[in-house]
Order: sequence, then structure tokens, then C-alpha cells
Amino acid sequence: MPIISTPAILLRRIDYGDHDLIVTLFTFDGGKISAIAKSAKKSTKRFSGVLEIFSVLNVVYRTSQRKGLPVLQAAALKHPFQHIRGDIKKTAYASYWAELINQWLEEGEKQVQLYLLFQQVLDKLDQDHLPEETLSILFQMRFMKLSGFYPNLEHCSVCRTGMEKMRKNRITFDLVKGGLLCEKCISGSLNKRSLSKGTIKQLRWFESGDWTKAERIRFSLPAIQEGQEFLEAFVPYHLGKEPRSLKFLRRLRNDQ
Amino acid sequence: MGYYPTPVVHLIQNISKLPGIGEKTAERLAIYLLGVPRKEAEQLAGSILEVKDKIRLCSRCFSLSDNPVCDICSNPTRNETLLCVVEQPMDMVAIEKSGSFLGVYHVLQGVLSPMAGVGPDHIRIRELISRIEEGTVKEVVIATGTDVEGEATASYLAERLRKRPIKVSRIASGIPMGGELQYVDQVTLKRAMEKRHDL
Ligand SMILES: [Zn+2]
Ligand SMILES: [Zn+2]
Repeated sequence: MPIISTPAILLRRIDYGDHDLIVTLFTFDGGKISAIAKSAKKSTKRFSGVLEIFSVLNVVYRTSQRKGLPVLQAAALKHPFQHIRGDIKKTAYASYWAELINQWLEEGEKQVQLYLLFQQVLDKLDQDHLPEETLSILFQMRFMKLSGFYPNLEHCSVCRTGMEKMRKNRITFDLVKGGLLCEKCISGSLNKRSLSKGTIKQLRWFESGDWTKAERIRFSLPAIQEGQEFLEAFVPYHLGKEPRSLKFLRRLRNDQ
Repeated sequence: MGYYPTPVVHLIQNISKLPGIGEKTAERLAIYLLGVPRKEAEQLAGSILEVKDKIRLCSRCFSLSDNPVCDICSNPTRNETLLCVVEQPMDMVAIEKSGSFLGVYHVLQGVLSPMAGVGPDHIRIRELISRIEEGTVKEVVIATGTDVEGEATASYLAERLRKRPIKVSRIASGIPMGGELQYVDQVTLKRAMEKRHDL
């Protein structure tokens, strides 16, 4: 029975009986795995205070030859991200990202780039480097790039007319096609949004995933709102399921 | 399980619905119950029905009660200006057992959890706010858990209560009694160090 040691980010945890936890880990070396942490709720020794969502850990787990879940042997806390946990808005954003990742990843599929992106975005969130809204747009754009459903924000998905050549300022985006539509090609589109040219241009800036560049961009407030609404419709649409955290996030925005 | 007569199968199925009990344990408990005297079985069945019939939530603090207002809320010696907010009735009982608190409680009946879809409207936050608006409460002690959900809930409440003329505090977390430092996580140790006191 092989023993595996790897860095990991905790995506989700659920109670299992009175004493145990089942944790979903995004591991650096082996992608997503679910493992059982025995006595994690009872013991003050082995996993005390360590198995919290979004924490970056060094974990050791043993895979089982029979059907059962891998068993977590040890976990050491590398980054607890204290400021995320102490802030409801940050917790809500991090939850949304974790849910997107959890929904998209297949068990055991290694995804180093996505792992690094998630760790980096959590780090920025914890350090208060960028506003949560901007970080979320950045994360979602990079997430789509890495997971292969990046939207076409360059030209009409049907006739390939460039965005700059479209006459109106508001441009239609077709969620099903995953791309823009010019005025001539709109008819028949069922699931569409409209975006301003300005927002589209600002979203494109994030394609490269260059953080220093991203930190220099000053998003206008309408562009943030529009970009956010667009991504929070498009990304869940492609994953086939709306994350629960999204409802929570919207509720929080209503409070403010 | 098909080897048992139908009533036994039903008992096993019902017991295995309880949290933390698998089919094997349910089977063992069912066989045990078959062997107890009739009187004992009646007592067990009776007390399950009794709590279902008699226990409700206190209309002020939302803890468990057999009266419209619970014993703590109706006790005139408790300090009504000091309000402790907890997640569950069990947390309130734990604090009561410690004997360290003489104020009153508010049980949220849950904790905010974005991933589980539990938002501010799903737990007793609105009731907490209107209780505070009555004006008697001078200090709110937030005693939700120290996991991500408990901390997030504390942060949400602190934000909602910030502009009111009351003191809002958070229970301290630290090294458990009899605990060895090497087993304590960094976050707890850091907080314990920050909140150190003179000897
Ligand atoms: Zn076209
Ligand atoms: Zn009461």
C-alpha cells in the first residue's frame, strides 16, 4: 500500500460519524483526492486545528488496495490564511472558487497550473492585495483558460467579424456558443448576455494571467459589475451546475 | 438483513438513520433492544415521543425548552445586558456546565456556510438583531466555533452590529488545559501568544 506525501489545499470537508472527517484535497502531485481523517473531530493531537477549508497543507496519505478511501496519516499546516477565515466576504469568494475547482476536477487528475493559480489567488485574497471582485474576475478568466473553455471575446462566433468592427457599443455574448455574436448573427440565440466593448477589452487583459499587469489595471466600477455578472453566469453554465456559494455571495452583496 | 423477520429489519433500518450509526452498529443495537425487558423498551420509546411532544424552541433565545420561555430567559438573576451568541443548544449547555457565564444566550440554530448554502436568512440572525434593537443588551459575546464557518459567522455578526451602541466581543481561543504545545496548530498558538496575560 503506497504512502504518498504532497502539498495540498483543502477544498471541502464533511463529518463522517462522530469522530471522523472526509476531506477533499486538491493535491499538488495527484490532483483531487478524497481521504478519510480518522478521529479528526476527537483527537487533540493528530489533526488539531489543521483540517480547515482553504488551508495549504503538507499531507501524507495511504492509498488502499481495496475499495475504501485513502487514509490521511498526517497533515501539517503551511498557510492557514487567517484573514480569509476572519472575513465573511473573503470566505464567500474563496468558497466560490473552491466549489468551481471541485466541480471541474476529476479525481486523480494532476493539475499543477490550476493548483498554483488557486494557491496564488488565496494568497492575494489573504494579503488584501487586490479587491475581492477583481481577484474573482482574474481567477475565473485564468480558470477558464486552464480548463479549456475560455470564451471567445475577439470576434463573432458565426461570421468571425472582429469585435472592433461591430458598430454598437453593447455586444451580445452567447453562453451556449461561448462567444460573441455580431448584430447580423444574433437571431436564434437563446441564452445570451450583453457586454459593453469596454468591459470586453478589460476582461481580455486577464488572459495572460500576468499578476503585475493585473494589479496595474484600474477597473471601472460598471466594468467590474458587468464582468462579474457575466462570468458568474458563464462559468457555472459550462460546469453544468451553479455553486451554492454563488447564492451566498449575491446575498452578501445585497446586504451592502 | 433479509434473514431477519420484517419487524427486526424495520428496527435496524430506523436505527441506522441516526447520525454516525452504520448498518453493522444498527444491527447490534437492534438485537440488544430485542433482549431488554419490555419496561425499558417502553421507557425509551416513551421518551422519544415525549421530547417530540413537549420540547420546543424558547421564543427568546431559541434554545430547547419545555415552556414558551426557557428557564434561563425567565430567571430574574441572569444578567440580561450580557448576551452570548452560540451555534447550537449543545454549545450553550457546554458553557452552562463551565459555570463561567451569568448572562443570557442566543442560539443561532446553525452557522453560516457558503458551500453548504446556509445564508444569513437561514439561521436566527434576524431575531438576534431585533432582540438587540430592544435596547436591553449592552454587550454581545460571540461564541461561535473557531472553524472557518464559525469565524465567518462571527465576522458577519461583528459587521452587522458594528454601528450599534453596544460592545461586541469574541471569546478567546488558546491552548487547551492539559495540552502539549507541540500538538497545537500555529493559528491557535499565535492567538494564545497575542492574548497572553501577566502572572
Ligand atoms: Zn456574425
Ligand atoms: Zn430562552
